[in-house]
Amino acid sequence: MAAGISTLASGGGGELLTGPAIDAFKDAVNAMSVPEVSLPFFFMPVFILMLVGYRQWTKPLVAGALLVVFCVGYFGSMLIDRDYLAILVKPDNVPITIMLLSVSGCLWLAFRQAALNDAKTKAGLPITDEAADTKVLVWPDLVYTELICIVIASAALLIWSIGLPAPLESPANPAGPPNPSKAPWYFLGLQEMLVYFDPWMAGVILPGMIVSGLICMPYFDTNPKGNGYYTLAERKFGITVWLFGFLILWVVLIVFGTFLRGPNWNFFGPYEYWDSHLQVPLTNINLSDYFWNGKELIGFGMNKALPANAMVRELPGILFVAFWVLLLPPMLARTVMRKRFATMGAARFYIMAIHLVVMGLLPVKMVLRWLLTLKYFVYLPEYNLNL
Amino acid sequence: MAETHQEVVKVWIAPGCIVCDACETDSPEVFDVQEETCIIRPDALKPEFTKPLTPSIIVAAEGCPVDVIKFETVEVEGPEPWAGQEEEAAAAGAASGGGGGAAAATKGPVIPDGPPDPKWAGLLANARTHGSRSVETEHAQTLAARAPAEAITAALGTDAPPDAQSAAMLGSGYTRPSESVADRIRQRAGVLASAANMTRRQFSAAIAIAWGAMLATFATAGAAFQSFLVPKVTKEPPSTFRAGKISDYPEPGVYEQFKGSQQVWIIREPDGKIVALSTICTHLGCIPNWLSADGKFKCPCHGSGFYMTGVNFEGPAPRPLERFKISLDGEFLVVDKSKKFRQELGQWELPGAALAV
Repeated sequence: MAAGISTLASGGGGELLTGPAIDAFKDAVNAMSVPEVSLPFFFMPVFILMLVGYRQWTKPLVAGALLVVFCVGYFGSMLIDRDYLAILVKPDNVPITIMLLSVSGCLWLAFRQAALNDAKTKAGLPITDEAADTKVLVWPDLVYTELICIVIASAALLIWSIGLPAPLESPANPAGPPNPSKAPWYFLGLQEMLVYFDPWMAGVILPGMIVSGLICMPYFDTNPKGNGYYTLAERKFGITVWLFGFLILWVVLIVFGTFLRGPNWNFFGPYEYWDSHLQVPLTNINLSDYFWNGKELIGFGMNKALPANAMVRELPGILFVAFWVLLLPPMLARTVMRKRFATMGAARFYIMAIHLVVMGLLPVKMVLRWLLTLKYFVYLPEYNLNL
Repeated sequence: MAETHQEVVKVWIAPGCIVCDACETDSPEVFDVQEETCIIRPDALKPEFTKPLTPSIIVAAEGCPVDVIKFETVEVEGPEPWAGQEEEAAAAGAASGGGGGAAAATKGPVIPDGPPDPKWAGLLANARTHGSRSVETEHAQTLAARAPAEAITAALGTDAPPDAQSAAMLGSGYTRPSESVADRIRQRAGVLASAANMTRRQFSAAIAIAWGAMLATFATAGAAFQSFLVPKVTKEPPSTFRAGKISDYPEPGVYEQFKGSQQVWIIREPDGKIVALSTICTHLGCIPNWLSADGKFKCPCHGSGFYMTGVNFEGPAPRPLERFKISLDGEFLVVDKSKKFRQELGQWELPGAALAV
């Protein structure tokens, strides 16, 4: 990190391409990249377009063009900005590039196959061609393939580790932690969640529910159609929810953590100099403050001192969380998810619905943090309990 | 001569059932006609069950169109318990049942003794000796096995009860019950012991020592592994330290000279009070930086922000930084890190949380 910072500190100037048009472009991208703009107005529309238009964008020509656009933007930005270059070529961040390309490749493969299969289903054709015998033997076909993969992966790791030495830094010093202190790249999504939640919530409960949700997934969607081949039409709900969790709430947050979180964990645009003395005015306010003292804070509501009793003080937040986790699932079962409730049965439906609403708590909290600088729904430091 | 009669003690179905349901109609307690054949109900495999049913079994055997119902009888003293109820059936049973039961009761069938054919036996022995698993040898074994089996079946006749067949197989040496695992271990141990010129007792002792040594090795390795989990030396610096004189903190502000060594900020508040603030972020334990231009502490891990007083105001930190006990020893400040004061519990108002100068 120290090396990265020193490179960044020299930032500005020395780019291959400069000019007023490029500066304007960089400013626009920087302004766009703050999460309260980029998540609702860029990543979510792209996500929805990906699901809605999967028959169109997966065509090899379109996908190839998208790949070229992505690579020009992603790698070409190195030419116009030194700070971006420093982030991208840092040995720590090489896996991010690999991740973006491999996730895109897997998505394209899955959606392409799904588009073809769904078209076949729509035309009333069988998915698999019985005549084409594509089965292979475990021995020797599979085992040899695995052997070759082992050799290639080992060689690639060896060359990578020799070519890009591990970014070791100076010995740990409690008086001077790296600024920003970043988790390993694969945990940056968790670190981003921790910005919005208490460590118990973002470090224990949410990751635990990610794991239990993954375990439960085959029991949430037991539709036998779509087993063994790619499809979107048969699993719209399951694939949408899973991809929202994986792409928006994990991969995008990793990208934020890598490219956009700078010193003091402030947000910076991808082409912005990481100024560790940047002043970001920010004050977070609890829901209880808004409830009891809204007149002063937002112009309407009560104007009272906070009740002395902690439970009374946090009652609005507790009621909200109870509504969200305990009442929302049955409400879903009686309204928009009536059919799903009938087919899944109560036990499986409620396990699924609780995972769903808890997952939804993260974007809800993010939006409220951006709009209202909301700190916690329930703020009970007396009991080390915050939500 | 005392009066005797025959009672059925065993009933079975010979091959060739045509599934006509006749027997089940005659004696539903005993026979169960299924898809492919007729079976004897499990209860009816016991003599106590079949004895009282003798008349109906005999009627069923008589009525069987393909004569596959076979039974065995024994002579029982006393009059027939069912006499008078079904006299005809009983009489018929005594006549034909005597025929069926005679073979089993009087003398057993002629069973060939010993390995039936030296040629096959030789082949078998040969195949076993070489331990070969080639297809030809297995095929030869199968052929060898078939010959005596057929001979035994022929000698017994097709209407012999199943257990008589297996008894004949055993008696002829064609099959033998496999040895139990324990027997084989004992046998093997005996061979090893005699090869090593040991008594059985010595051999057992050697085995016990070997197992004991192995367990001791694993136990030692486990203990060694366990000792890696706890530190050999625990460094516990004194929780109290002297933080200089009051005159070292003339102006209101944050003094960072003990941040590295003691993880404590000494803070002179605008009203002149001196407090000792912990440098551990209350969110996840990172160490925030003091940004003097902003007048705030800012954590580099998740962006929590604290005022100079230590009260949290931005980011995810759930509660203010903790204060340590601070007191005066002459003109020196003494900070006791073993005593913490938490603002959210109202402890900052307690004596020792701040030093009024």
